[in-house]
Amino acid sequence: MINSREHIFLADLFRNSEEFSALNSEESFSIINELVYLYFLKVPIVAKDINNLLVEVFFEILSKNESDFLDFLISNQEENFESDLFNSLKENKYEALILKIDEKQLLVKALQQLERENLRTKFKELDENEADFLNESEIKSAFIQLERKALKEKFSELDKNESSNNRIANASFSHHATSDSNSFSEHSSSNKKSFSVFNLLKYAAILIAIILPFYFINNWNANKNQVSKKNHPKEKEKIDSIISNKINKSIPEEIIDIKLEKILQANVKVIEKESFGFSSKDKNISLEISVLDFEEAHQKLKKLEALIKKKGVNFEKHKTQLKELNKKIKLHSNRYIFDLEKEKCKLYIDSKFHKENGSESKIYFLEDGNSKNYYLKTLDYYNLNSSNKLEKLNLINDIDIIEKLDLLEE
Amino acid sequence: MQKIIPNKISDSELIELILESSSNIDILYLKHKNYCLNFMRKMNNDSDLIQDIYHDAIITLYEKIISGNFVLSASIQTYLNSICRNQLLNRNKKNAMHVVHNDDYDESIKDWIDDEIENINDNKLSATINALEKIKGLGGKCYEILKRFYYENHSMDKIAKDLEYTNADNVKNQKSRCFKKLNQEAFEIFNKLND
Repeated sequence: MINSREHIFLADLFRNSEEFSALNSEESFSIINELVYLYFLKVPIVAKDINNLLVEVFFEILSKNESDFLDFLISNQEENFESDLFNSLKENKYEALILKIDEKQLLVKALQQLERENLRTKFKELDENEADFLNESEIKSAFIQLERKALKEKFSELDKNESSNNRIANASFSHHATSDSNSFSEHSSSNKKSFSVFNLLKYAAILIAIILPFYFINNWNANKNQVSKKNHPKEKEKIDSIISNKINKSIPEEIIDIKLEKILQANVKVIEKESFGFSSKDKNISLEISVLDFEEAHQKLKKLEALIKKKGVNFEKHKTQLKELNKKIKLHSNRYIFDLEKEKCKLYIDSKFHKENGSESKIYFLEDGNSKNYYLKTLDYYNLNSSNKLEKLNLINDIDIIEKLDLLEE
Repeated sequence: MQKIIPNKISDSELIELILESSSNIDILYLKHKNYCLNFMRKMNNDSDLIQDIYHDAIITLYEKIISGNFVLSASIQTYLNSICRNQLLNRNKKNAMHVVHNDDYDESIKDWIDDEIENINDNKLSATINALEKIKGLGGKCYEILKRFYYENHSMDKIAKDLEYTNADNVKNQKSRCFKKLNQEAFEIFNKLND
């Protein structure tokens, strides 16, 4: 028989069932036992021994209260469940089914699973309850209190600052007033002189304050100029400024052409021309030279030289002219003069000449009979002197030369 | 450093400034202070009292402004005068005869600081306040995020912009973490208070 707790629970569960309440307790308990057993063991209900109507009622009610019913079972000890319910069932004709241990284990597992799920749900609810420990209005209220306190402190601070500023202002005003009054009385007692001295001092101070910055600025500029004059000649200064603007920029060929042409026209006589019948391949080499890549050009000229030599060019023939040229333009080491050719190339090379003069450098001179375009690279620099002659200056690189030429034109 | 108060700032501009940044409350406070205090001095000479009342009046107005649904029916000065006058009347009924009657206040304005909040002696509220103070003391942006969200009613976008977060979603996540932290702290403090 089921115990009293089960009885109460089940009675409660079925209390709304008119059909069930019509039965006496013994009958109802018996039916319930069977129904519960069948329900949990998932055994198809055989209704021949029980009232069909009651079965329907049972399942209807159970479907509405399943969770309650399961809770009830979970909350009871398994032993009780087994002893009361199962023992009672053993007495009736379903005994054979009860002894199916596997089925019973299934039931226990199902109950365990149910309980685990219930516990998880419960923990989740606990978590949620904990998260809801504070609601929005509670946080707002806390903030209001905190911020009110903070604001009041802030206002007090502002009041303090304000009164402190006022005190300073008052003190300054009173000091000003006192000194004014003193100077006034001084003025009254010691006639106009003291007033004028006071004012003079005041104006002098103002004037000094105005003039001093200008003095320092002028002085600073003067010093700066002096230093720069000392260290850099005007010419160099200008070159520097031009170089700084133009450095790393490619040198426009036309500028070089014009300047050098001017120099050469003024100082160099046209050298005797010698024509070479370059092949198209050679001509290409010669044209490539004009890009002002002097190092590369030097190498290519060497090749040209070898080529010319191979062709049996008589360099001795031009020796005198080259010597003349050397005197006039005072060529020094690493100097190359090229003539950019389009159709014809004329090349004057004197390697021996320099060797004879104790120099190992070579002179290359290309000239076009129609248009004279000269390119110059040198580590030396030549300036036109007052007598319109080239004189050597010590400058550093190609850019210097080009920029210097700009200056010369001015 | 003391704020420079623009002379010609309008009431609506001032409200905008406060909504933009709570630090601009300084402008509100200093701009109306002298007038309000002088207004109250006609009724009461207790400088401490009138100063306290002025503080509360500014707080009342500030809380109204940040609540987001504040509509100014009169000028800010009139609003503050009215609050101050009402409060002074409450505290100083005996001297009601000295109450000024002029256009500097609006009798229909009945707003006042909600004392109930301040007078709550609730362990939960205390725990929350303590937890917030603890979070503030720890540094970081948690307090600012929670304050701007719950107290100043700023949007996530605005908080993201003001506190230099990449986007509002980041603030939202951070706010969620901060809330959990606050919740946990408050819960622990609350339990200790009840032990």
